[in-house]
Amino acid sequence: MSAAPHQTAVSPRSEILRVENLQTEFHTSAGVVRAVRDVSFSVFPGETLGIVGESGCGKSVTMASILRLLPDTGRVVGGSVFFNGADISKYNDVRMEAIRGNLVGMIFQDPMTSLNPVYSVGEQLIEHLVKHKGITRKAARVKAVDMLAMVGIDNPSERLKSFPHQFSGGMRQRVMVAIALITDPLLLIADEPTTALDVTIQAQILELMKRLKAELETAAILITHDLGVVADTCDRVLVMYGGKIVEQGRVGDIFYRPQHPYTQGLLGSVPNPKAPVRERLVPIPGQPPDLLSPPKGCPFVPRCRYAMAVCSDHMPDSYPVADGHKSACWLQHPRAPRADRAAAGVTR
Amino acid sequence: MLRMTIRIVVSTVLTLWTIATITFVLMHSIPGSPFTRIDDEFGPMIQAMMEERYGLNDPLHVQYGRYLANLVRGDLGFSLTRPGLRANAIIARTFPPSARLGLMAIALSFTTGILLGVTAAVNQGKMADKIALFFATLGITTPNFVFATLFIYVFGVHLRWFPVMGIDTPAHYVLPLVALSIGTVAFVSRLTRSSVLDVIRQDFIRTARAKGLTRQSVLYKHVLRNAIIPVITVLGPVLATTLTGSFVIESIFAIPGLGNQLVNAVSNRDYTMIMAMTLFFSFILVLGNMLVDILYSVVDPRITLHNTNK
Repeated sequence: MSAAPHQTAVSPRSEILRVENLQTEFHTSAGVVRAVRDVSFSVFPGETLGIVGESGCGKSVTMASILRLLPDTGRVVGGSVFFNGADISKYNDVRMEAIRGNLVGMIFQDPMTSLNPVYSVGEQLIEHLVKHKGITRKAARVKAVDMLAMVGIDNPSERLKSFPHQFSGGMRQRVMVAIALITDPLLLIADEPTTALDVTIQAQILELMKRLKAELETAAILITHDLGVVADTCDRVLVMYGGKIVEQGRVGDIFYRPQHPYTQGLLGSVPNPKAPVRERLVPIPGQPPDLLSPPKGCPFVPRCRYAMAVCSDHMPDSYPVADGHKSACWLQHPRAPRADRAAAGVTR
Repeated sequence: MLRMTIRIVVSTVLTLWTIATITFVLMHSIPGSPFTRIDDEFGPMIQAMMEERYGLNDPLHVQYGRYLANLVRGDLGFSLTRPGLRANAIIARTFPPSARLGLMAIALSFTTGILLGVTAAVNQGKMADKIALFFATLGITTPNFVFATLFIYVFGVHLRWFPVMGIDTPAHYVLPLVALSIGTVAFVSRLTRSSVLDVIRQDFIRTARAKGLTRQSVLYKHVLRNAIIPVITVLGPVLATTLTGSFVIESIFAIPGLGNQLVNAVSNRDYTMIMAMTLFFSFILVLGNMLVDILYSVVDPRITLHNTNK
């Protein structure tokens, strides 16, 4: 794929990305916000990993921590990040720059503001390609035309000279996809790529990402709070809450056999248009935890209908439920009482 | 292109005509005559003759018509205090020194101001930022004659590094140049700083960083090109005021420039010179703003010069 010097040969089953015990803090005037608390997960070649959770749960910060794209107030204070076999958490800025936009492509939420208004789309497509691959601008431009065509932009060689304001929101997100994928990255990170788009465009962009990901054999992380998007595009899912991963598993596991009360609540609050009778949406009462002073035990305790005495004092381990399916809940403890799933309002 | 040129020419002429008219009316509504002297050095006879000679006794509309007719021919009229000298000649003689000094001051103050502003912004809240803030506040609040006098005392009289009178050699330019630039440097650096801080938070800067571009590339290519737009806005007026000379600086350093002439003209009630110089200043301002418009369209593709043709 690419020829970066640090890249080592990896067997197909070994992970592209392994994150171990990642911890990120923000230093604010109100105090230290512990946004990511001990997060570990892996991404395997070719798969799409979904990360879901409500606003402020640490999804985006986790991704920004991996590439060290945090704002000035944020700092990774612990953990390791192995990318393609190398521990990149100790890399300096220059070595990180060789990974960002080269081996890892990123797409962001709002295409209206994600492109620089004063440079042509062509320039924004090729500048990092020229930098990372050391090719001429002419060769890069040829590749850019191909890439624009691949993301479905008509008349690509002409459009290369256009500026972002001459594109619609959906078209701009296509350009962002092209920018992210033009370097043939090993991993694509999409941070809520469709949240700011209207529904028909959303579907087009997701379809496009799915197709290109398959064509280029890229692994992907998709951050979203839209469970429909997850069901449609992801192979595996991480559910985050209060800066921690509370449940992870294959899409089928999460949607049909959710174990963590938070995941169950999340699924219960999504409308089901196919339901035979009109069912009420069940919101999760309460507020997410204040990460300025994170709870000692499970962050979901105040909102959890199954909360037990142990939950407030001790964070549960991640218990394996099935192959690759883990839930960080005391209910999974072998000696815990069985929760009645029907009572949680989970009907699907 | 032709339509655009016509539009610009028409609007320039209209602007200058309006300014000429307003200045004319204002000048002639001042009580007394330009030849009135406190010490009555002329005597009423001579004063009447002078007024007759320069047509000041004609009805106002006649004077106005004559003024405009001369203006159309590019004739700004005879100076009232320097017999036989046209305003055109005085401007032609005194503008070059002012403009030379002004252009250098603008080049110096915008480059240093932008560099200081960027440095302060990327070091927001740190020592470099605080030092820059201190000097910017000092630069903005201290009048330039204070710096000019200080420089003359320290570098001219005490250390004898630079000459302090006139503009005969390049060394003569150093002190007036720095004294003239300090205020603008301070102003431009504050403007740049806030603009850079605003741009640096934008999503597209995060995109640029996510693309693995170097810090320098993100800053000087992606941030600065956007942050420079408000700075360009102030270039127009700064260009006009600086090119036409600073009375204070020109007086202190004995520079035979335009700024000096304007103040002389005002204190001598030289109607012709005042009107001529006001008009000339306006013309430079119009040119400056035109330059700003062109620079806008160069820096920001969303702005076009001929958007009325769309």
